[in-house]
Amino acid sequence: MIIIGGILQENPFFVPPDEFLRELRAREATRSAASK
Amino acid sequence: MKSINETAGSKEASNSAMPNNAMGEQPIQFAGSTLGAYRHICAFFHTPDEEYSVLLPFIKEGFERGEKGFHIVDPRLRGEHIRRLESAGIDVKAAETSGQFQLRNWEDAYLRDGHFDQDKMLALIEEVLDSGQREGFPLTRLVAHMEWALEDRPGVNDLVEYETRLNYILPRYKDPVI
Repeated sequence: MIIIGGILQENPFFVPPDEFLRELRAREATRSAASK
Repeated sequence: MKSINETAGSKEASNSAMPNNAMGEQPIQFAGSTLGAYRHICAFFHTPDEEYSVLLPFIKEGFERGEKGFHIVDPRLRGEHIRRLESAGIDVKAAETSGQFQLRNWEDAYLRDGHFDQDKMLALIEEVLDSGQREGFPLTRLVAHMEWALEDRPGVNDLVEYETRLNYILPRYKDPVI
């Protein structure tokens, strides 16, 4: 949930934690490979 | 995804997969709506006045119901936070003395040992919510100011992962976390 402008609403950008953490790990791996 | 305004004839938030009456508790009013089952809320405010106009009724409702309040604040704004609570008629000193209220600075929560450690912070959140139950409070209303995340603090890059991992923990609790 999110409050913007004093109004409570569902977070339109919400991603389930499993999916989000997978994406995060993938981004970290890409960044790490690029810096080598 | 439905917006809260789509709930016909009611202001109850559409996240109410588990209706409040089924949870055996009084409805929780927040920002013009009634909280449903999902109670991890990220709040953005333009000004402190806007912030407290939204937060104070929610905070006060909890105190009036005998619930616990656990707040985390910028140490530079600790006095101002207390003044705002008192302006709403909350007896901060009495609530602290009775154990109903705990106020911590960032350095005693998010930034212990001078940096953000997501594992330690997740453990602290669980401990706070568990201890509220152990102490016999029907709910803990946790309000945490996060402006430190806008500063160049060690560990701040782990914040997004922390907030995501919090979404594994908080569904086990009915306590609202703002």
